[in-house]
Amino acid sequence: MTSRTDQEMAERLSKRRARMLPVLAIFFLMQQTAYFSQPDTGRVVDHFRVSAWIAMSVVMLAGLTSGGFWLRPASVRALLDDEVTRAHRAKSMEAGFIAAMVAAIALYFVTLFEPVSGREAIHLLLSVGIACALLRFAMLERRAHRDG
Amino acid sequence: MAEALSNRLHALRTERGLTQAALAELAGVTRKTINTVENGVFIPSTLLALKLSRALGVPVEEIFSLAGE
Repeated sequence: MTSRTDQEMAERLSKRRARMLPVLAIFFLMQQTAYFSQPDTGRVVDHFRVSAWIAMSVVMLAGLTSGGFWLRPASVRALLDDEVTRAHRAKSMEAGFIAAMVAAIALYFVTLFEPVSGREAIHLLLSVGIACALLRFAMLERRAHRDG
Repeated sequence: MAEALSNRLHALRTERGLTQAALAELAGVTRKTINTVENGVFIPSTLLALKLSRALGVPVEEIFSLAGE
């Protein structure tokens, strides 16, 4: 049996996570659109842009794999990472992996006609994989919160 | 082999006058978990099935059965 306070807090945070994730995923994708529309030319500002992308990717990946809310009590985090959430995470990782593989196949054909640098390829595959996993996770979580 | 699982979680819960949140608290899970199991969206593990059975005070077989049985 868990305490009512923990339950209520976990419920509130879980709903907030389900609402926030699609927004974060779209913001993340939009940031990448800006990157690909103005490719890296070696300027100082480009290094900051790429660093921001790497930092955001690491944070999103860490949040997705661990469940996030690292500053909350362990009992609340345990509820936020319950069986259903873990199942949703596994499904979302699967979706992210498939999306990255499809993007890699598409990229292979693109390189037949246009040269793509290694950094650009990594950037694209990582962004597609993370964004798809986030969107899938958010979709599953939102559906789970919906009343029967 | 049957692939679907039927459950009487909603009926057993309402018989006892429990809300999803109250049952979640008794079983030590979230309301989301109760909701997904009740709706048949999620098939629980043995561990979760036993927690629910203990929280409701009934054998697991009374909550879950293979569809069509």
